[in-house]
Amino acid sequence: MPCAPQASIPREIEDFFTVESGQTLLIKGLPGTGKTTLALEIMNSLCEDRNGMYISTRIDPRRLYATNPWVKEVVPPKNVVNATQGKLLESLKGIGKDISNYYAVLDFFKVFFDEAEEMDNPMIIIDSWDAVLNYTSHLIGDGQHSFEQNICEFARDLDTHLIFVSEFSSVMPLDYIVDGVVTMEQFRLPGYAEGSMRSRYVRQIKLEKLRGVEIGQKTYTVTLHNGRFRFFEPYREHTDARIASDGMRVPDPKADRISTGIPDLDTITGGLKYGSCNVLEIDHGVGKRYYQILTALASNALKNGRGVFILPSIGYQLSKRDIFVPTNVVVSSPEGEDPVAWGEGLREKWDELRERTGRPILNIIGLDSIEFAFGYKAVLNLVNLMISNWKETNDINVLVVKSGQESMNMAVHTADAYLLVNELNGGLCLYGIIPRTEPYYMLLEERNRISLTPIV
Amino acid sequence: MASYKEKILDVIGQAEVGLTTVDVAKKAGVSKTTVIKYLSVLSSEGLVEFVEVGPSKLWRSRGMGIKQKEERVQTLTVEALPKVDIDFCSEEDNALRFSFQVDLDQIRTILKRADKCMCKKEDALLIED
Repeated sequence: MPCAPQASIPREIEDFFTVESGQTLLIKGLPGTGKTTLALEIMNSLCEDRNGMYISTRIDPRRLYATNPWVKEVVPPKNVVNATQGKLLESLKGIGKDISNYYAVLDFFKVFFDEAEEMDNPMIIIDSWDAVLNYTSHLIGDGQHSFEQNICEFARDLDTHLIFVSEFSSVMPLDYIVDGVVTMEQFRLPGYAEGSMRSRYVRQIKLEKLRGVEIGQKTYTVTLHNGRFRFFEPYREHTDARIASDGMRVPDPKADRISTGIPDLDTITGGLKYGSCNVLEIDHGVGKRYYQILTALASNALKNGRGVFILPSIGYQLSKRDIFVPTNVVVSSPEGEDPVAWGEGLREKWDELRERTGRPILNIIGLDSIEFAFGYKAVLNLVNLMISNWKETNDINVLVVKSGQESMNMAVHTADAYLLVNELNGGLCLYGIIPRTEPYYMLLEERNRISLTPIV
Repeated sequence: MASYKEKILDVIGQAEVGLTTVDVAKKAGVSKTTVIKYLSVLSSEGLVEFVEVGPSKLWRSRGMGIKQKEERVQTLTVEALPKVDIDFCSEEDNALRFSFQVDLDQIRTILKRADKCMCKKEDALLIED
């Protein structure tokens, strides 16, 4: 996986504004979806310092800088235009009845440029275009589309990028006039009913059209975390499991909890309690990509001197040569036809490992493997035994379940912590059901470090 | 020192076929935002106008359009002058024959400008002082 610094806006949008001068982009979406933040982030990424102009019908400079202090370098205070209805009417007073006249557009922008700093390569945001039309509808009348056409021609003529922000989510004539259209969306994760414990809202950007640019990916997951727009590249890591020594050791967060090996996950969960049962549910489409979570967990436990027992999930292949302290790791799969006898053998292996390391061990158990080998009833009996054992030994336990398997119903009732990993726009999204958390986007960064960014 | 307005008017006046908005800004040495402000003012004062050439808008002085119109009229008149036909005769004849198909009214006008007059004598047209 590439570890280059993450760009803040999708490559397609960046290419769109560099392939041609004088591009016009329409950003659409319902209120609160992040249109303004995206527009400002585009400006911040692509516009020269002090060449940004923000014409707003709903925000003045003071409020803009209070919520987005980082735009000040690009958009100086004089270039934040508070487009009140009075000012908009003044800008159009000279046009008479001929709104289709190109000179009307010159007059329109002149009023705003009069107050702004001089700019050699301006980039302009009009936020929102709906409000501009609403304020001036009695003047513009039937000439709206000619006016919009002329504004786009003005941008091309002046080699100036122009961004319209609109709250109309349906297709409108302006969609056909501008060079590019993107839509910001906030939606509930599919498959989960409103209000259910698995239901979460996430954000995405949809690239509808970008003239002159090949759209590689139509939708990207995005976040407005810390008031900044950020998109996420797909998570493509599909390597087999290995427990290597690379990566930083993460200290345990508290005396009674061990680290997950992922600092962001420690912050979210507070770490894994001694004697706790923690469930990691893997949704369809995640594939092997969840291995990285288990690798980080096991690897860090070894670094902190713990023994690790692994009962692999179906498909989770782990050979001795992929483990950096093989003596402290036991890998065992279900054997034989008698689950009770197999369970007894399991207990012996745990005891041996615990004695060797002199402290509670970490158990990573693929419930799907047990269910496949012995059936659901056997899983129930075994887990009952395991839990009573763990409470006595203080072992830390992670049960891996796959969405849809029967064991999942039982696991949710036994869990001290329950995390769900699912696929989202080619990436991975992780969130807590117990305790309930917001969704996080999972990224693999340098030295196999996993980071989690809230999707808010 | 010339004002922005004079500079912009000057560069537009000097251009033979008009200038794009960006070129006006470059040649006048002003920012894009400044050029828009002044083009708006100059066009409302009737001093400049734009013509659309393909996808481009070219700015030019208002008088320039009238001058070009006159030039076009003259050109049309010249193009309307006589059709000439050349007859390559045989070697025995050793001559070339030119025949003209003319509009008499146009010829009269041209001769009048040259202080000449035309009269018809037998099968020929004579041009006299």
